[in-house]
Amino acid sequence: MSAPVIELRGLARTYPGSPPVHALRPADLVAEENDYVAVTGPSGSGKSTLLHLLGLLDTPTAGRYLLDGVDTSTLSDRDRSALRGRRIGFVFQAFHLLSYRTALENVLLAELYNHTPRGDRLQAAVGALNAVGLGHRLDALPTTLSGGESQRVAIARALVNRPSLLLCDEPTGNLDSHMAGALMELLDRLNASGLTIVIITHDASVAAHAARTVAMSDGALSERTGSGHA
Amino acid sequence: MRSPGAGLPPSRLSVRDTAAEAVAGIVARPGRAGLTMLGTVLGVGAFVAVLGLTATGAGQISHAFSVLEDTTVTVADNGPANDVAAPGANPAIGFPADADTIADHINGVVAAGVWWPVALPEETDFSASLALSGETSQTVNLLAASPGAVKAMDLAMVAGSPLTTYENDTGQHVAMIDTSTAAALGISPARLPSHPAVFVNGIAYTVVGVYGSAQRVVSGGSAMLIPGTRPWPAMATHSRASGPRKKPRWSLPPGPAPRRRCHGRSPPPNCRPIHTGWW
Repeated sequence: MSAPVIELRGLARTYPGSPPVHALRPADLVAEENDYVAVTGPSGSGKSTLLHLLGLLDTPTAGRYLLDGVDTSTLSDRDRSALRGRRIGFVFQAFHLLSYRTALENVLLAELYNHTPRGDRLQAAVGALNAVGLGHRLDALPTTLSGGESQRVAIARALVNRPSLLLCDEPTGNLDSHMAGALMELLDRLNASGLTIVIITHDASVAAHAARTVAMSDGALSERTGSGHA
Repeated sequence: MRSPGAGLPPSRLSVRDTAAEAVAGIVARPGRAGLTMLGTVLGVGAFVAVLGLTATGAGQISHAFSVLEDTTVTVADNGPANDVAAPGANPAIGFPADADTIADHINGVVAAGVWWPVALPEETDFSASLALSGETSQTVNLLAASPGAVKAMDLAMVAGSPLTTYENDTGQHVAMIDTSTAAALGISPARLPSHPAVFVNGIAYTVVGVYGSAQRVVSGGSAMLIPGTRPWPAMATHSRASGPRKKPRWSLPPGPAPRRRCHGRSPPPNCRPIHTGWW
Protein backbone atom coordinates (compact mmCIF):
# COMPACT_ATOMS: atom_id res chain seq x y z
CA MET A 1 0.00 0.00 0.00
CA SER A 2 1.30 3.42 -0.88
CA ALA A 3 2.00 6.01 1.78
CA PRO A 4 -0.92 8.19 2.90
CA VAL A 5 -1.18 11.60 1.24
CA ILE A 6 -1.19 13.37 4.60
CA GLU A 7 0.28 12.02 7.77
CA LEU A 8 0.57 14.29 10.81
CA ARG A 9 2.44 13.09 13.89
CA GLY A 10 2.10 15.42 16.85
CA LEU A 11 2.19 18.44 14.52
CA ALA A 12 2.02 21.73 16.47
CA ARG A 13 2.48 25.40 15.80
CA THR A 14 3.12 27.95 18.52
CA TYR A 15 3.49 31.64 17.86
CA PRO A 16 6.01 33.21 20.22
CA GLY A 17 4.89 35.98 22.51
CA SER A 18 3.88 36.50 26.04
CA PRO A 19 1.97 34.42 26.57
CA PRO A 20 2.74 32.18 23.56
CA VAL A 21 -0.21 31.41 21.29
CA HIS A 22 -0.85 27.71 20.73
CA ALA A 23 -2.48 28.06 17.32
CA LEU A 24 -2.28 24.33 16.74
CA ARG A 25 -1.84 21.91 19.61
CA PRO A 26 -0.06 18.61 18.89
CA ALA A 27 -2.31 16.87 16.36
CA ASP A 28 -2.34 13.48 14.62
CA LEU A 29 -4.18 13.03 11.34
CA VAL A 30 -3.95 10.62 8.45
CA ALA A 31 -5.60 11.22 5.08
CA GLU A 32 -5.34 8.41 2.55
CA GLU A 33 -5.54 8.83 -1.17
CA ASN A 34 -9.06 9.78 -2.30
CA ASP A 35 -10.02 11.00 1.17
CA TYR A 36 -12.39 13.95 1.46
CA VAL A 37 -11.81 15.82 4.72
CA ALA A 38 -13.71 18.86 5.95
CA VAL A 39 -12.20 21.02 8.68
CA THR A 40 -14.74 23.02 10.65
CA GLY A 41 -14.54 25.30 13.62
CA PRO A 42 -15.18 28.84 14.75
CA SER A 43 -12.98 31.77 13.86
CA GLY A 44 -9.64 31.72 15.67
CA SER A 45 -9.75 27.98 16.28
CA GLY A 46 -6.63 27.35 14.18
CA LYS A 47 -8.13 26.27 10.84
CA SER A 48 -6.01 28.62 8.78
CA THR A 49 -2.88 27.63 10.70
CA LEU A 50 -3.59 24.01 9.91
CA LEU A 51 -4.14 24.87 6.23
CA HIS A 52 -0.87 26.82 6.04
CA LEU A 53 1.00 23.91 7.58
CA LEU A 54 -0.64 21.40 5.25
CA GLY A 55 0.16 23.68 2.30
CA LEU A 56 3.80 24.00 3.32
CA LEU A 57 3.32 27.75 3.63
CA ASP A 58 4.35 27.63 7.28
CA THR A 59 6.70 25.45 9.31
CA PRO A 60 5.59 23.60 12.42
CA THR A 61 7.28 24.21 15.76
CA ALA A 62 6.91 20.55 16.75
CA GLY A 63 5.96 17.22 15.22
CA ARG A 64 6.27 15.85 11.71
CA TYR A 65 4.30 16.23 8.53
CA LEU A 66 4.62 13.58 5.83
CA LEU A 67 3.24 14.51 2.42
CA ASP A 68 3.05 11.54 0.05
CA GLY A 69 5.49 9.87 2.43
CA VAL A 70 8.04 12.70 2.20
CA ASP A 71 9.01 14.10 5.59
CA THR A 72 8.68 17.83 5.00
CA SER A 73 10.25 18.88 8.30
CA THR A 74 13.72 18.15 6.96
CA LEU A 75 13.30 19.90 3.61
CA SER A 76 14.89 23.16 2.56
CA ASP A 77 12.75 26.07 1.44
CA ARG A 78 13.64 25.30 -2.17
CA ASP A 79 12.49 21.70 -1.87
CA ARG A 80 9.35 22.74 -0.04
CA SER A 81 8.53 25.15 -2.87
CA ALA A 82 9.07 22.43 -5.46
CA LEU A 83 6.87 20.03 -3.49
CA ARG A 84 4.18 22.66 -3.05
CA GLY A 85 4.19 23.53 -6.74
CA ARG A 86 3.86 19.91 -7.84
CA ARG A 87 1.81 18.13 -5.20
CA ILE A 88 -0.57 20.71 -3.76
CA GLY A 89 -3.30 22.77 -5.36
CA PHE A 90 -4.79 25.78 -3.58
CA VAL A 91 -8.28 27.22 -3.86
CA PHE A 92 -8.99 30.39 -1.89
CA GLN A 93 -12.15 32.18 -0.92
CA ALA A 94 -11.21 35.29 -2.93
CA PHE A 95 -10.22 33.40 -6.13
CA HIS A 96 -6.94 35.39 -6.55
CA LEU A 97 -7.05 35.53 -10.33
CA LEU A 98 -5.03 38.08 -12.30
CA SER A 99 -7.67 40.50 -13.55
CA TYR A 100 -5.99 41.47 -16.81
CA ARG A 101 -5.17 37.96 -18.00
CA THR A 102 -7.68 35.62 -19.58
CA ALA A 103 -8.97 32.51 -17.85
CA LEU A 104 -6.66 30.37 -19.96
CA GLU A 105 -3.62 32.53 -19.15
CA ASN A 106 -4.42 32.40 -15.45
CA VAL A 107 -4.34 28.62 -15.61
CA LEU A 108 -1.19 28.61 -17.74
CA LEU A 109 0.59 30.69 -15.09
CA ALA A 110 0.50 27.76 -12.68
CA GLU A 111 2.61 25.73 -15.11
CA LEU A 112 5.27 28.40 -15.49
CA TYR A 113 7.46 27.40 -12.57
CA ASN A 114 7.62 23.64 -12.63
CA HIS A 115 9.38 22.48 -15.76
CA THR A 116 6.25 21.66 -17.74
CA PRO A 117 7.37 21.40 -21.37
CA ARG A 118 6.21 24.45 -23.27
CA GLY A 119 4.34 22.42 -25.87
CA ASP A 120 2.31 20.56 -23.25
CA ARG A 121 1.17 23.57 -21.28
CA LEU A 122 -1.68 24.73 -23.48
CA GLN A 123 -3.15 21.27 -23.77
CA ALA A 124 -3.02 20.74 -20.01
CA ALA A 125 -4.60 24.11 -19.28
CA VAL A 126 -7.43 23.60 -21.76
CA GLY A 127 -7.97 20.13 -20.33
CA ALA A 128 -8.21 21.49 -16.79
CA LEU A 129 -10.70 24.18 -17.83
CA ASN A 130 -12.76 21.57 -19.66
CA ALA A 131 -12.73 19.42 -16.54
CA VAL A 132 -14.35 22.23 -14.50
CA GLY A 133 -16.87 22.92 -17.26
CA LEU A 134 -15.40 26.16 -18.60
CA GLY A 135 -14.21 24.96 -22.01
CA HIS A 136 -16.34 27.63 -23.66
CA ARG A 137 -14.84 30.61 -21.76
CA LEU A 138 -11.14 30.18 -22.33
CA ASP A 139 -10.53 33.77 -23.46
CA ALA A 140 -12.79 35.50 -20.94
CA LEU A 141 -11.26 38.00 -18.52
CA PRO A 142 -11.98 37.39 -14.82
CA THR A 143 -13.87 40.69 -14.70
CA THR A 144 -16.46 39.21 -17.07
CA LEU A 145 -16.77 35.91 -15.17
CA SER A 146 -19.34 35.23 -12.47
CA GLY A 147 -18.19 34.29 -8.98
CA GLY A 148 -18.85 30.62 -9.60
CA GLU A 149 -16.98 30.70 -12.89
CA SER A 150 -14.06 32.52 -11.29
CA GLN A 151 -13.82 29.87 -8.58
CA ARG A 152 -13.92 27.18 -11.27
CA VAL A 153 -11.01 28.87 -13.02
CA ALA A 154 -9.18 28.89 -9.69
CA ILE A 155 -9.87 25.18 -9.30
CA ALA A 156 -8.65 24.53 -12.83
CA ARG A 157 -5.48 26.46 -11.97
CA ALA A 158 -5.04 24.32 -8.85
CA LEU A 159 -5.55 21.11 -10.80
CA VAL A 160 -3.50 21.80 -13.91
CA ASN A 161 -0.33 20.35 -12.38
CA ARG A 162 -2.18 17.19 -11.32
CA PRO A 163 -1.56 17.57 -7.57
CA SER A 164 -2.14 14.77 -5.10
CA LEU A 165 -3.81 17.14 -2.64
CA LEU A 166 -6.33 19.93 -3.12
CA LEU A 167 -6.54 22.44 -0.26
CA CYS A 168 -9.66 24.64 -0.25
CA ASP A 169 -10.02 27.58 2.13
CA GLU A 170 -13.70 28.58 2.31
CA PRO A 171 -14.18 28.02 -1.43
CA THR A 172 -17.88 28.86 -1.25
CA GLY A 173 -17.49 31.91 1.00
CA ASN A 174 -18.01 34.39 -1.83
CA LEU A 175 -20.71 32.46 -3.69
CA ASP A 176 -24.46 32.31 -3.40
CA SER A 177 -26.07 29.01 -2.44
CA HIS A 178 -26.87 28.02 -6.02
CA MET A 179 -23.31 28.58 -7.20
CA ALA A 180 -21.96 26.99 -4.01
CA GLY A 181 -24.03 23.88 -4.69
CA ALA A 182 -22.70 23.62 -8.23
CA LEU A 183 -19.15 24.07 -6.98
CA MET A 184 -19.54 21.36 -4.36
CA GLU A 185 -20.84 19.00 -7.02
CA LEU A 186 -17.70 19.72 -8.98
CA LEU A 187 -15.53 18.95 -5.93
CA ASP A 188 -17.51 15.74 -5.32
CA ARG A 189 -16.85 14.73 -8.90
CA LEU A 190 -13.13 15.45 -8.58
CA ASN A 191 -12.99 13.42 -5.36
CA ALA A 192 -14.82 10.59 -7.04
CA SER A 193 -12.15 10.57 -9.73
CA GLY A 194 -9.48 9.97 -7.09
CA LEU A 195 -8.38 13.41 -5.83
CA THR A 196 -7.62 13.94 -2.15
CA ILE A 197 -9.41 17.06 -0.88
CA VAL A 198 -9.11 19.00 2.36
CA ILE A 199 -11.69 21.72 2.68
CA ILE A 200 -11.96 24.37 5.38
CA THR A 201 -15.43 25.74 5.88
CA HIS A 202 -17.89 27.35 8.25
CA ASP A 203 -20.80 25.97 6.32
CA ALA A 204 -22.31 22.72 7.66
CA SER A 205 -23.93 21.94 4.31
CA VAL A 206 -20.53 22.15 2.65
CA ALA A 207 -18.94 20.01 5.36
CA ALA A 208 -21.70 17.46 4.78
CA HIS A 209 -20.23 16.72 1.35
CA ALA A 210 -17.05 15.42 2.93
CA ALA A 211 -16.67 11.82 4.02
CA ARG A 212 -14.74 12.89 7.12
CA THR A 213 -15.17 15.94 9.30
CA VAL A 214 -12.48 17.25 11.60
CA ALA A 215 -13.56 19.79 14.17
CA MET A 216 -11.17 22.34 15.57
CA SER A 217 -11.52 24.24 18.79
CA ASP A 218 -8.85 26.40 20.44
CA GLY A 219 -6.14 24.75 18.37
CA ALA A 220 -7.18 21.21 19.27
CA LEU A 221 -8.22 18.77 16.58
CA SER A 222 -10.97 16.15 17.00
CA GLU A 223 -12.48 13.94 14.33
CA ARG A 224 -16.12 12.95 14.00
CA THR A 225 -16.71 10.02 11.72
CA GLY A 226 -19.77 8.92 9.81
CA SER A 227 -21.04 12.36 8.79
CA GLY A 228 -20.43 11.76 5.12
CA HIS A 229 -23.07 12.44 2.51
CA ALA A 230 -22.93 8.94 1.12
CA MET B 1 9.96 6.65 3.12
CA ARG B 2 11.26 8.50 0.12
CA SER B 3 14.26 10.73 0.37
CA PRO B 4 13.42 14.40 0.91
CA GLY B 5 12.28 16.15 -2.22
CA ALA B 6 12.83 13.01 -4.25
CA GLY B 7 12.52 13.49 -7.99
CA LEU B 8 11.39 17.08 -7.80
CA PRO B 9 13.52 19.65 -9.58
CA PRO B 10 13.38 23.07 -7.91
CA SER B 11 10.87 25.63 -9.08
CA ARG B 12 12.25 28.04 -11.62
CA LEU B 13 11.16 30.60 -14.16
CA SER B 14 12.93 30.41 -17.51
CA VAL B 15 14.28 33.50 -19.24
CA ARG B 16 11.86 33.08 -22.11
CA ASP B 17 8.88 32.83 -19.77
CA THR B 18 10.10 35.87 -17.84
CA ALA B 19 10.32 37.88 -21.04
CA ALA B 20 6.87 36.71 -22.13
CA GLU B 21 5.37 37.72 -18.78
CA ALA B 22 7.10 41.09 -18.94
CA VAL B 23 5.72 41.77 -22.40
CA ALA B 24 2.28 40.64 -21.28
CA GLY B 25 2.46 43.04 -18.33
CA ILE B 26 3.38 45.98 -20.58
CA VAL B 27 0.70 45.17 -23.13
CA ALA B 28 -1.94 44.76 -20.44
CA ARG B 29 -1.31 48.27 -18.99
CA PRO B 30 0.09 50.45 -21.78
CA GLY B 31 -0.69 53.69 -19.96
CA ARG B 32 1.13 52.64 -16.85
CA ALA B 33 4.07 51.35 -18.88
CA GLY B 34 4.25 54.67 -20.74
CA LEU B 35 4.27 56.67 -17.53
CA THR B 36 6.97 54.43 -16.10
CA MET B 37 9.04 54.95 -19.23
CA LEU B 38 8.52 58.72 -19.03
CA GLY B 39 9.61 58.76 -15.40
CA THR B 40 12.72 56.76 -16.21
CA VAL B 41 13.62 59.06 -19.10
CA LEU B 42 13.13 62.16 -16.95
CA GLY B 43 15.21 60.68 -14.13
CA VAL B 44 18.09 59.68 -16.38
CA GLY B 45 17.88 63.01 -18.16
CA ALA B 46 18.10 64.92 -14.89
CA PHE B 47 21.07 62.80 -13.83
CA VAL B 48 22.91 63.41 -17.10
CA ALA B 49 22.10 67.13 -16.91
CA VAL B 50 23.57 67.36 -13.41
CA LEU B 51 26.71 65.53 -14.56
CA GLY B 52 27.01 67.83 -17.56
CA LEU B 53 26.60 71.01 -15.52
CA THR B 54 29.16 69.81 -13.01
CA ALA B 55 31.67 68.99 -15.73
CA THR B 56 31.05 72.35 -17.43
CA GLY B 57 31.58 74.23 -14.15
CA ALA B 58 34.78 72.34 -13.39
CA GLY B 59 36.00 72.98 -16.93
CA GLN B 60 35.31 76.70 -16.65
CA ILE B 61 37.18 76.93 -13.38
CA SER B 62 40.25 75.11 -14.67
CA HIS B 63 40.07 77.22 -17.84
CA ALA B 64 40.12 80.39 -15.77
CA PHE B 65 43.14 79.16 -13.87
CA SER B 66 45.03 78.18 -16.97
CA VAL B 67 44.32 81.57 -18.60
CA LEU B 68 46.03 83.21 -15.64
CA GLU B 69 48.96 80.81 -15.79
CA ASP B 70 49.33 80.84 -19.54
CA THR B 71 49.58 84.61 -19.72
CA THR B 72 52.08 85.17 -16.96
CA VAL B 73 55.84 84.93 -17.35
CA THR B 74 58.11 85.41 -14.39
CA VAL B 75 61.85 85.85 -14.58
CA ALA B 76 63.78 85.72 -11.33
CA ASP B 77 67.16 87.40 -10.99
CA ASN B 78 69.38 84.83 -9.40
CA GLY B 79 72.72 86.22 -10.51
CA PRO B 80 75.84 85.73 -8.41
CA ALA B 81 75.83 89.33 -7.17
CA ASN B 82 73.52 88.61 -4.27
CA ASP B 83 76.02 86.40 -2.63
CA VAL B 84 79.13 88.45 -3.10
CA ALA B 85 78.01 92.03 -2.46
CA ALA B 86 79.80 93.56 0.43
CA PRO B 87 77.79 94.79 3.40
CA GLY B 88 76.68 98.33 2.87
CA ALA B 89 76.82 98.08 -0.88
CA ASN B 90 74.03 97.46 -3.31
CA PRO B 91 74.27 94.16 -5.14
CA ALA B 92 74.93 93.91 -8.82
CA ILE B 93 71.83 93.84 -10.97
CA GLY B 94 70.85 91.09 -13.34
CA PHE B 95 68.32 93.20 -15.27
CA PRO B 96 69.18 96.29 -17.28
CA ALA B 97 67.96 99.62 -15.95
CA ASP B 98 65.46 100.01 -18.79
CA ALA B 99 64.09 96.50 -18.42
CA ASP B 100 60.47 97.82 -18.35
CA THR B 101 60.82 99.34 -21.80
CA ILE B 102 62.70 96.37 -23.23
CA ALA B 103 60.09 93.90 -22.02
CA ASP B 104 57.30 96.05 -23.40
CA HIS B 105 58.88 95.74 -26.84
CA ILE B 106 58.50 91.98 -26.86
CA ASN B 107 55.70 90.96 -29.17
CA GLY B 108 52.58 90.09 -27.21
CA VAL B 109 53.61 91.63 -23.90
CA VAL B 110 50.82 93.80 -22.54
CA ALA B 111 52.45 95.03 -19.37
CA ALA B 112 55.86 94.48 -17.78
CA GLY B 113 57.63 95.78 -14.76
CA VAL B 114 59.96 95.15 -11.86
CA TRP B 115 58.83 94.33 -8.37
CA TRP B 116 60.18 92.87 -5.21
CA PRO B 117 59.04 92.38 -1.65
CA VAL B 118 60.69 94.74 0.78
CA ALA B 119 62.16 92.95 3.74
CA LEU B 120 61.20 94.68 6.99
CA PRO B 121 62.81 94.67 10.41
CA GLU B 122 60.91 92.77 13.04
CA GLU B 123 58.44 94.82 15.04
CA THR B 124 57.92 97.12 12.08
CA ASP B 125 55.09 99.44 12.95
CA PHE B 126 52.37 100.28 10.44
CA SER B 127 50.01 102.98 11.55
CA ALA B 128 47.62 105.50 10.10
CA SER B 129 48.59 108.08 12.74
CA LEU B 130 51.74 108.94 14.61
CA ALA B 131 49.74 109.95 17.63
CA LEU B 132 47.76 106.77 17.87
CA SER B 133 49.61 103.56 18.37
CA GLY B 134 46.49 101.49 18.71
CA GLU B 135 45.61 101.09 15.06
CA THR B 136 48.66 99.24 13.96
CA SER B 137 49.12 96.26 11.76
CA GLN B 138 52.08 93.94 11.77
CA THR B 139 50.97 91.75 8.91
CA VAL B 140 51.31 94.11 5.96
CA ASN B 141 53.32 92.85 2.99
CA LEU B 142 55.37 95.64 1.49
CA LEU B 143 56.09 95.44 -2.23
CA ALA B 144 58.18 97.84 -4.27
CA ALA B 145 56.90 97.94 -7.84
CA SER B 146 57.44 99.90 -11.02
CA PRO B 147 54.37 101.36 -12.79
CA GLY B 148 54.56 98.57 -15.36
CA ALA B 149 54.51 95.98 -12.60
CA VAL B 150 51.47 97.66 -11.02
CA LYS B 151 49.74 97.54 -14.39
CA ALA B 152 50.63 93.85 -14.79
CA MET B 153 49.14 93.08 -11.39
CA ASP B 154 45.78 94.03 -12.89
CA LEU B 155 44.42 95.69 -9.78
CA ALA B 156 40.74 96.36 -9.27
CA MET B 157 40.76 99.94 -8.03
CA VAL B 158 38.28 100.94 -5.35
CA ALA B 159 39.42 104.53 -4.94
CA GLY B 160 42.24 106.78 -6.11
CA SER B 161 44.66 105.85 -8.89
CA PRO B 162 47.61 103.50 -9.43
CA LEU B 163 51.19 104.57 -8.94
CA THR B 164 52.33 106.87 -11.72
CA THR B 165 55.62 107.06 -13.55
CA TYR B 166 56.23 110.49 -12.05
CA GLU B 167 55.83 109.20 -8.52
CA ASN B 168 58.07 106.31 -9.40
CA ASP B 169 60.82 108.27 -11.08
CA THR B 170 60.93 110.96 -8.43
CA GLY B 171 60.75 108.58 -5.53
CA GLN B 172 57.66 110.05 -3.92
CA HIS B 173 56.55 108.70 -0.59
CA VAL B 174 53.27 107.39 -1.83
CA ALA B 175 51.58 104.01 -1.47
CA MET B 176 48.67 101.89 -2.60
CA ILE B 177 46.90 99.63 -0.13
CA ASP B 178 44.19 97.04 -0.42
CA THR B 179 40.77 97.36 1.16
CA SER B 180 41.43 94.95 4.02
CA THR B 181 44.66 96.71 4.98
CA ALA B 182 42.85 100.03 4.74
CA ALA B 183 40.16 98.74 7.07
CA ALA B 184 42.79 97.42 9.49
CA LEU B 185 44.52 100.78 9.56
CA GLY B 186 41.28 102.71 9.85
CA ILE B 187 41.59 104.42 6.48
CA SER B 188 38.32 104.78 4.63
CA PRO B 189 38.61 104.81 0.78
CA ALA B 190 36.25 107.79 0.85
CA ARG B 191 38.87 109.73 2.79
CA LEU B 192 41.46 109.63 -0.01
CA PRO B 193 40.89 113.29 -1.09
CA SER B 194 42.11 114.34 2.36
CA HIS B 195 45.42 112.50 1.70
CA PRO B 196 45.65 110.00 4.52
CA ALA B 197 49.05 108.48 5.20
CA VAL B 198 50.46 105.20 6.39
CA PHE B 199 53.40 105.53 8.76
CA VAL B 200 55.94 102.75 8.45
CA ASN B 201 58.16 103.03 11.48
CA GLY B 202 57.36 106.72 11.51
CA ILE B 203 57.97 107.37 7.80
CA ALA B 204 54.86 108.73 6.09
CA TYR B 205 53.56 107.31 2.81
CA THR B 206 50.59 109.15 1.34
CA VAL B 207 47.89 106.77 0.20
CA VAL B 208 47.06 107.54 -3.45
CA GLY B 209 44.97 104.47 -4.25
CA VAL B 210 42.98 101.66 -2.66
CA TYR B 211 42.47 98.42 -4.60
CA GLY B 212 40.09 95.55 -4.05
CA SER B 213 41.86 92.59 -5.63
CA ALA B 214 44.88 91.70 -7.76
CA GLN B 215 45.27 89.11 -10.49
CA ARG B 216 49.00 88.59 -10.04
CA VAL B 217 51.91 88.94 -7.63
CA VAL B 218 49.93 90.11 -4.61
CA SER B 219 49.53 86.89 -2.67
CA GLY B 220 46.40 86.65 -0.59
CA GLY B 221 45.13 89.89 -2.14
CA SER B 222 46.77 92.00 0.53
CA ALA B 223 49.90 94.14 0.12
CA MET B 224 51.08 97.72 0.39
CA LEU B 225 52.66 98.91 -2.86
CA ILE B 226 55.26 101.66 -3.05
CA PRO B 227 57.26 103.02 -6.01
CA GLY B 228 60.32 100.96 -6.75
CA THR B 229 62.67 101.73 -9.53
CA ARG B 230 64.35 105.10 -9.91
CA PRO B 231 65.47 106.31 -6.51
CA TRP B 232 67.31 103.08 -5.89
CA PRO B 233 68.59 102.08 -9.28
CA ALA B 234 70.50 99.18 -7.90
CA MET B 235 67.45 97.69 -6.30
CA ALA B 236 64.87 98.78 -8.76
CA THR B 237 65.97 96.83 -11.77
CA HIS B 238 66.27 93.64 -9.88
CA SER B 239 62.76 92.54 -10.57
CA ARG B 240 60.41 92.61 -13.51
CA ALA B 241 56.82 91.98 -14.19
CA SER B 242 55.12 91.64 -17.52
CA GLY B 243 51.53 91.22 -18.41
CA PRO B 244 49.42 88.86 -20.43
CA ARG B 245 51.08 86.76 -23.10
CA LYS B 246 49.73 84.05 -25.24
CA LYS B 247 52.06 81.41 -23.90
CA PRO B 248 54.75 81.32 -21.26
CA ARG B 249 58.16 81.31 -22.79
CA TRP B 250 60.08 80.55 -19.67
CA SER B 251 59.64 80.38 -15.97
CA LEU B 252 62.27 80.37 -13.30
CA PRO B 253 62.20 79.71 -9.57
CA PRO B 254 62.28 82.59 -7.11
CA GLY B 255 65.57 84.25 -6.33
CA PRO B 256 67.71 83.76 -3.24
CA ALA B 257 66.37 84.51 0.19
CA PRO B 258 67.03 87.94 1.72
CA ARG B 259 70.32 88.47 3.46
CA ARG B 260 69.69 91.93 4.83
CA ARG B 261 66.61 93.79 5.71
CA CYS B 262 65.40 96.55 3.47
CA HIS B 263 62.93 99.02 4.68
CA GLY B 264 60.56 101.21 2.78
CA ARG B 265 61.58 104.23 0.86
CA SER B 266 64.26 105.61 3.13
CA PRO B 267 67.40 104.48 1.41
CA PRO B 268 69.48 102.36 3.73
CA PRO B 269 72.78 101.88 1.92
CA ASN B 270 73.09 98.23 2.75
CA CYS B 271 69.59 97.29 1.69
CA ARG B 272 69.36 94.56 -0.92
CA PRO B 273 66.58 93.38 -3.18
CA ILE B 274 65.36 90.00 -2.21
CA HIS B 275 63.09 88.68 -4.90
CA THR B 276 62.78 89.34 -8.53
CA GLY B 277 60.26 88.64 -11.17
CA TRP B 278 59.64 89.39 -14.78
CA TRP B 279 56.09 89.49 -15.90
